[in-house]
Amino acid sequence: MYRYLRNTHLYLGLFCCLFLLMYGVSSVQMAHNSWFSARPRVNEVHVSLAPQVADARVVARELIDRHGLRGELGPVRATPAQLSFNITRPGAVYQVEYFRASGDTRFRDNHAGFIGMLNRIHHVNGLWHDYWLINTWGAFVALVSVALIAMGITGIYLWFKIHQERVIGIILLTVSLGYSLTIMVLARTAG
Amino acid sequence: MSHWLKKLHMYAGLLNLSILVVFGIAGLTATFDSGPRRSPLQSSTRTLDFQPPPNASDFEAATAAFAFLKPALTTAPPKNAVHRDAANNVTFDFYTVNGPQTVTLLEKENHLRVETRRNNLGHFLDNLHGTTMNARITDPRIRLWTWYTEFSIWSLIFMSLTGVYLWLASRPKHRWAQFSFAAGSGVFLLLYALTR
Repeated sequence: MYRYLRNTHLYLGLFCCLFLLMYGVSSVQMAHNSWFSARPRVNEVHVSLAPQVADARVVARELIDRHGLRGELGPVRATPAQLSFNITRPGAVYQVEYFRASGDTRFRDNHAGFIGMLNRIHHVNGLWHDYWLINTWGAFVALVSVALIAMGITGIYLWFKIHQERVIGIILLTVSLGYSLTIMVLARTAG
Repeated sequence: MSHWLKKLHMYAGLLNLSILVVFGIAGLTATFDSGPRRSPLQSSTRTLDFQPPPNASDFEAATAAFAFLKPALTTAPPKNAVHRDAANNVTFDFYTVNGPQTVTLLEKENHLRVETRRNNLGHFLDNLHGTTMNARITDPRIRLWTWYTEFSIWSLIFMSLTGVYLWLASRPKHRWAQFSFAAGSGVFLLLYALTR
C-alpha cells in the first residue's frame, strides 16, 4: 500500500508539475500585479471581405479560414452599419469590426506576453466552448484539480507512515486546518 | 540537502492541505459548474426602511445605503458601480465570496431593497481561492484568508520544484516517473505552443 501510494503521489506530481508551476507563477502575478508588466502587444490589421454579410459567424469563419485568426466567437454587437465582436483564445483577443456596406474589416490583435499567457491559461474554465483548444485546457484543469486533491490525500498517508514526523506533523496540520477551516466557516456564515 | 528538502516539502504539504483541496474543488467547479452549465444561485429579497441624506447625489446616497447596511466581506461600491435602473431608482451591486448582492434605493417609499444571490459551496470555495493579497477588502476574515492564499501560492511553487528535485535525487531512473514527467510536460508545452 505504502509503495503504491508513494508512486501515485510521485507520478501525479511529476505529470502536473508544469501545470502547477503555471498556476503558482500566474497567481503571484495576480496577487502582485505591480511586480509584472502584463500589457499585451497590439497590432491593427485591415482586410477586405465580401460586403452585406449579416451573420457575424460567417465573418468570423472567413477571418479564421482565410486570415489565420484562431479562437472562439464572443458576443456580437450589431448595428445597421457594422458588426462588432471578439474572437478569443487564452492570451489572444481579436477585436473585430466589420463594415457591412463596404466589407472593410478592421481587427485589433491583442497578444499577451508570457506572464499574460499564463494568466489567461489560469482562467480557462469549462468544456462547453466552441474552440477545441480551450476545451482541452479545460479538461486538463479538471485532471490537475483531481490530481491536487489526490496528492493531498496520498501526502497525508505518506507523512503518517513516517513515525518520527508524526508529532510535528500533527501540530502543523492542526494549526493549518484550525486556521483555514475557522476562516472558511466565518466567511460562509457572514451573510 | 535532500533530507531537509523532503522535510520541508512534507511540512509545506501539511500546512497547505486544506487550501490544496480548495484549489482542487475550485478547478472542478470551474470545469463542471460554469458558463452555460452553471447552477442557478439561490436568490432572496428583503426590504428595509431607509432614507438617504437630503440633496445627496446618486453616489452619496448609495454610499449612505452601504454604510447603513454594513455588509460583511466587501468594500463600498466605487462611483462607476452606482447607476439608475430602468425604473430610475439608484442601484448598485457588490460582491462577496458568498455571491453578489444588488441594492436598490426606493426613494419614494423610503425603502432599500436588497437582493441577495447566494452561491453554492463550490463557487464559495472558487471565490475564496481567487481572493489574494490584491483584494481591496479590509474585512479581517478576508485579510486573514489572503495571507493563507499568499503562503499557499509560494508553497505550491516550492512543492512543485522540490518534488522534481526529490525525484531526481532519489529515483531518477524510475521509468514510470520519467514517463509521467515527460507526458505532463509534453502536454503542457504542446498546448502552450498551440495556444500561442
